[in-house]
Amino acid sequence: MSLPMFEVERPQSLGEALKILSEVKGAEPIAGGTNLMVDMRKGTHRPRVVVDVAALRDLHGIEATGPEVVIGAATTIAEMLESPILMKHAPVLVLACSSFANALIRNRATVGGNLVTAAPCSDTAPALLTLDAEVKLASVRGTRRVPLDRYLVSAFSTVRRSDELLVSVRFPIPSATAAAAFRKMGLRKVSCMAKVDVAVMLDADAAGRCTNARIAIAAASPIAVRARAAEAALVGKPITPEAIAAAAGLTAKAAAPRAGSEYKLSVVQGLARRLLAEAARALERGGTHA
Amino acid sequence: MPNKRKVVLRVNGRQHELALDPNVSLLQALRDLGHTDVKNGCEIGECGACAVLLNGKAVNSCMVLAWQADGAEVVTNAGLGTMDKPHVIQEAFADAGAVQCGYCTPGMVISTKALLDRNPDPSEAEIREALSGNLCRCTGYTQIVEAVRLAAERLRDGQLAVAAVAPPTALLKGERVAESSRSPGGPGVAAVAPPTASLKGERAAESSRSPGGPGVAAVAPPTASLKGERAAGSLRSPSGSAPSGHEKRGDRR
Ligand SMILES: Cc1cc2nc3c(=O)[nH]c(=O)nc-3n(C[C@H](O)[C@H](O)[C@H](O)COP(=O)(O)OP(=O)(O)OC[C@H]3O[C@@H](n4cnc5c(N)ncnc54)[C@H](O)[C@@H]3O)c2cc1C
Ligand code: FES
Ligand code: FES
Repeated sequence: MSLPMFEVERPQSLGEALKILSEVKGAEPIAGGTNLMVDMRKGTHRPRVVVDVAALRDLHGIEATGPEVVIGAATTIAEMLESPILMKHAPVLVLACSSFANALIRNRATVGGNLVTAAPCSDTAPALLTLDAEVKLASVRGTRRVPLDRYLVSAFSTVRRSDELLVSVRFPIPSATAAAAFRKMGLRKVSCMAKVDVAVMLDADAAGRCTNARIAIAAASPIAVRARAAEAALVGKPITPEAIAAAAGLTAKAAAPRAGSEYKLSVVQGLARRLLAEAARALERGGTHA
Repeated sequence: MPNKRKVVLRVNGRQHELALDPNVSLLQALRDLGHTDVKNGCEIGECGACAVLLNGKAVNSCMVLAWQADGAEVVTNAGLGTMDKPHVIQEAFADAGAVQCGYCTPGMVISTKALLDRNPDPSEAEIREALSGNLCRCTGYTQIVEAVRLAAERLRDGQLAVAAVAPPTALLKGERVAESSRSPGGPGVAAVAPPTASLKGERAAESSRSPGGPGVAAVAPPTASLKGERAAGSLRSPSGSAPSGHEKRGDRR
């Protein structure tokens, strides 16, 4: 299976890369190549020029700067899995990375490539949605920051324009009292694409009333989405088993599986209930003033 | 026609200066150089038969363009050991009966090396997780898991044996010692994933670093078995479709 012919550009700076993307017809970035190599072999992507962005320094690194965490787009899933910063501030993302593909793929695949591909079963997207992440897009025209839930439009579709590079993903450092959980359901226990992903985050005040809730699902709808109605139903009330059951039901309403995959509605509901209960228990254990 | 690109590859310690078309994969470049121990099983990242160490990290060489590896250090299965001087891992695969047709073996050995460099005493679940990107159509995996356990044990024993006779400074030398002297502290999957999938801000993050966290078990139960007759039955993915093709398996059945 040989690859179609293409030319190569290896820009040394972000500016140079953006110039190539705006001026060269048929130019497409490559980072880890774990999507693009497959797509080129299948013939679904036929770039005339492949632009290497994996080596751009501006696209690397995981930093906690002031109130937010910034992850360079070319950061690999393996690097995120090993990041002390993410373990401290976003363990839900580390869990998502630990369920991502397998060690061989994780050493190449990048978070930027994952979010630009925007597959329905992206594992990073639901975790990042619970973190209120936004993406930074750059082109020769300038940069813009877009909240992740507006960036993701539909299956394999985003608001990114073809001459824009995804530079970084960032999210505000979550409240120290918040508790989160993530689960991926697939055909194998390891190394598979998600059939359903659910990620949740809960926060509560000293009286046990829910002050903040995030619930996101992937692979059960054309693109990863937040279950906003379920989140709203939880906030302001004590996190009781009844409240959790109601929120889980509302989470399933946010799902829109393809015909023949209606079983996913029950999976989403079951997983949401389990994860919300786990997060609620973790909240209790920690207690705001513990 | 696009110009050929100059690519310098260091493979198993030997430097090659090549002029390659831009669309040549690292897999193809290595095989054209005669490194046919690097196998071509699927060319879509699904099987792990083409795995090599690229600057010390295990990757599928079919997913890498050769020029992306310009200047890099590549180690293949044959770079770890030869028939005359096999690596402990290769010996363990032979001794455990983990080699049948042998097609998956070079990739399995590479993934095993990457695992044991970081985790000298992996549990069965950790072994199965670490090798989950490598498919085998012959063995049923039981002997492969046994081989990894055997290799880990022999490498640990080797280190003890050297430690018993050698002064501490000598511990920094010698192949076997180097194998296992790397601290297990490079947080593997096991050390990363917290005890339960529920996490409690900083405290959970702290405890997730404690040794013996049950690891990926929080996400995938400890019995994480490679339950894939379908996956194991063929080196190609059953549908032949790309992994980015959403829900390729179950949904259509
Ligand atoms: C065997 C296998 C298993 C997989 N398992 C999973 C899984 O479990 N979960 C999951 O979510 N995904 C999985 N994937 C899909 C894939 O690995 C991920 O989507 C990965 O994150 C893609 O990143 P990459 O760097 O390899 O992207 P590339 O292939 O390099 O690029 C993908 C696309 O994004 C564009 N792009 C890349 N970086 C940028 C950037 N910074 N700015 C603008 N455009 C950019 C490229 O032009 C290309 O169109 C799997 C793939 C394989 C082959
Ligand atoms: S040949 Fe590379 S993963 Fe199968
Ligand atoms: S021994 Fe034949 S594929 Fe594994």
